[in-house]
This record gives sequence, structure tokens and C-alpha cells, in this order.
Amino acid sequence: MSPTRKPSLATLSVARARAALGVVAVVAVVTVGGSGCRFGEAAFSTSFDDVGFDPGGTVFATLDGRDQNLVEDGDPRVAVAMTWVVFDPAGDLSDLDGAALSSMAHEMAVRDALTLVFANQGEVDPGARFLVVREGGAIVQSGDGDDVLPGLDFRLHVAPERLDAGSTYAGIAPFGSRRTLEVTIDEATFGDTDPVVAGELTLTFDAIAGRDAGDAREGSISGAFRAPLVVEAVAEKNAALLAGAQGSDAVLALPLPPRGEPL
Amino acid sequence: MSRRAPHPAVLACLAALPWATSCAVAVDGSFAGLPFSPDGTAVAVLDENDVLVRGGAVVPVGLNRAQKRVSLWLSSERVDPGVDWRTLGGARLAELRTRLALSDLLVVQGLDYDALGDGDELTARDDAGRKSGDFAFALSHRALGDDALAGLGNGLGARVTVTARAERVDDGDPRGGSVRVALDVERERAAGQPAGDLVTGTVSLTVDVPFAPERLGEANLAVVAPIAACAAAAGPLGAGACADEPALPVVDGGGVH
Repeated sequence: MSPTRKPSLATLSVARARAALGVVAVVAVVTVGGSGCRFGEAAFSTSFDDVGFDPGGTVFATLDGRDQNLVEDGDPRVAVAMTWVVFDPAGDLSDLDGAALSSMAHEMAVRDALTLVFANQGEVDPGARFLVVREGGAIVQSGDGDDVLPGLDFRLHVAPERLDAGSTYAGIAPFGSRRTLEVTIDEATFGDTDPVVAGELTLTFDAIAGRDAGDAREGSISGAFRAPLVVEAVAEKNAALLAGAQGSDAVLALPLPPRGEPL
Repeated sequence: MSRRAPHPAVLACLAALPWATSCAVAVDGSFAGLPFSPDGTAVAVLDENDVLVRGGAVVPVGLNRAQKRVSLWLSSERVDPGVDWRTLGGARLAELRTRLALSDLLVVQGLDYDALGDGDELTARDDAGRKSGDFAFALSHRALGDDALAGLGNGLGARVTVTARAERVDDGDPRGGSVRVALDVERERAAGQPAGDLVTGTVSLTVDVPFAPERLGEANLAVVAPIAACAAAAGPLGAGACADEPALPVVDGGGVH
């Protein structure tokens, strides 16, 4: 038989405190999350001691089904966009007031983000593996043998370093400029019921002798993402709104540039 | 070069506010009664390093003495240059940008550190948009009310000449150093402007400030400089639209931002 305990002022206080903490926790989650629930998921870890990477606020996929002239693409590109900023990419951000939109665009520029672009929807299937190697703005390798597909590109936006009076140029630790991205698709559905693209990725940074600084960082970011599909027109309109004054240098690279042009 | 010590009053200000002070700017004169008093905030940055971006690789490099440059910016607004403005929330940053755009603002960039150290007099001119000289500058006036506008006659003389002469330059390693610079800002009639009843004259500014931390100072200057350039071109009536001018790129280990 379990012991019973007569309620006392002390135990009531503890219970109330716990309940209050629960309320605080819920309020905190809603506040941090902005809208209260996040769209999509992404979680990454890094091999760097002092650099995290968190573009898990909003994660969504979209098909680039039509170009700027509304010409339909029979095998469209698939973009998976991830950003620290929390918003509803399936809603219409133009309903927000200007100050909120401006703040969101500002945060977009100073937080982590990553956009993956697959060249052909038809290749984005469960189990598919993709690889791309970039050195600066140039793709130097795409795919690897028969099992690892080409047709992947990406835009990485690492949050700018937060400067203070102690920040020095000598303290800049650049990332290696050879960047290898490997993506494995775990789930890809494009139908009417809960369409989503999910997978795992590893982005590796290597220094290039003679080009990178001697102390360039080498290491990797790895993790998984789950990106519900958002209608192209809505996704592109929202991304354009968030790009704000950054224009074509938009963090998410959305709307996508025409095929053949660099991200 | 001269090695004048800072005035005791300036030293007192420096103690209160480490490297950006309102009391470090002395203003003398006006443009025919139109004040120009950018004495709310003064920041000097000694550019001793650069960051190259080569094929995607970010490579910090130190500058030799001949390559070092000094930048100054002065505003009638009191703002805090001691924080990285990019870390401010969007609303606070927008407010700060608006205040700067609507202030008396002077940004001077590219002063030759070596020449300043030798006591040379450096000059630059903006002649109705045609720029020349030893350095770059942008000057804009705070928003003017109807009363002020009524007293402007045929408007502002559009030929602006800035002359800079250092009275002290101390790179002061490892403590950051300081600079004392005399700036004469002269407004004159530009060719093509109507003769007479133009706002002309000379404002003399003396700036005595420690150098700001280089990276932080340059990151915030990347916000101020485009606003000043836009406001200088737009004039006092259009300067408010310059608050949203995109910042210049800033490079760090993650790339160009």
C-alpha cells in the first residue's frame, strides 16, 4: 500500500509551482516558436568545437514546376529550404505587417540557412543518394559512380559571426572552401496526402592547399531533415518577401534562378 | 607630426565612454546660419587588415603601413556603436537606421594613415555629385523644418570640400590608439547654381577619439556609409528614404554577409 500524505501548504505550493512551471514552459515554447508550431524539422550537429548550425526553424520543400514565364517543367527541380526563422511557409506572409516582415527578413540574414536543390523530381526517391563537390562558386564534382547521383546543388548560409570589442581579424577562422555535400533521401512523396521530402545529409569542409588560409577549418555538419511540400507559388512569394533588400542574393536562393545558372 | 595630448575634458569623456563619445567633437561655425552639428556620436576606425575572398576561400591579410586607412563617422544622433548592429532586432535596427538617415551625418573614408601621421593636409571635394580628392566622404543634413527651409534662399551650395589634418595619430598597439583630426567642411556655390542667396560657409570640426575595435567598427560602418552616401545624394528632404539602404558586405569566417 502506498503511503498517503495529507495535503499541506508546502505540498500545495510545490504542486502549484510545478503547474506554474508547466505554464511557463508552454508559454516559452510558444514564444520561441513564434506561431507555436514549427513547419518541418531539421537537426544538425557539427564537428566544430565552437560553431553550431541550426536551420531548423522552418523546413519546407517546393517544386519548381514553372519558370518565370510560367512554362511548365515536366521534371521540375525540387528545392528543400531550411532556416532558423520560424514562419508558416504555406501561409501568405504578405498578411503580416511591414515591421514584422522586416524583422523576419533581418533575422533571415543573420541566422543559419541551407537550401538543397535537386535537378529532377523524378530522381528524388527513397534510397536515392546524391553528391556534389563545390570549390567556391564552381561545382567540381557531381555524383560518384553509378550509385551516387549527380544533379544536386546547394546554398549554404552560415550565420555571421557576432562581433564584439574583442573580435579581431586574427581571430577569423574561415571554413575550408572545398565543400562536399552528400544527401540520402529517406522519404519522398509528392501526392496529395502529406507530401514530404525527408533525408539525411553530411556537408564536409576541406581546406585547399594554396588557396585557403593555413588555419582554415576542416570538419563537417551532419543531420537530418523532414520538409513538407509547399505549393510553388506560395513558397516563392514568401521567399521573395523575406529576401527583402537582399534581392538576388537572398539567403534561401528562392525563387530559384533559371536552370543552368548558379545558385 | 604634432603630438598634442588630448584636452582634459576629452580625457574625462573617454573615461566615461570608451571609444565613441559625443564630447570628442568640437563644432565651430555654420553654413550661413544653417547648423551642421554631427556631435552626438563620433567613431574612428583604423583599417589595418583586409579579408580576401579567392575562389570561395576567405583569407585574412594584414595591411602594411602604406596601406592603412582611417575612417571617421560623425552623427548628431547619439547611437551605440559598441554593439554589432546586426545583432539588434529588426525593429531596433530600423529605428537606428532612420535616426542616422535623418541626422547631421558625415562619413569620411580612406584617409591615408601614413599621410595623416606625417601631418599632411588631405582634401576631397563633392562638386554637385562629381567627386575627387584624397579620400571619400558623404555629408548629409538633418531633416529641416519649414522654418529652416524658408531661410534657405536658393538652397545649399552644392560644392562641398572637406579638408582633413591630423593633429595626433597613435596606433597605440596593443591598446588601440587614438586620433585627433581637424576637419574643415566648406560649402560653396557650384557651377550652374544661381548666384547669390545660397547657403555657403565653413564648419570646422575637431574630432578626438580612440580608435574603435577594427572589426566591430567596420561592420557598423558598413551600415552607416551607404546611408550617408544615399542621404548626401538625396538631400535633406529625401534623406529619410535612405534608412533602408543595404549595408555593405562584411566578410567573416563563414563567407560574405
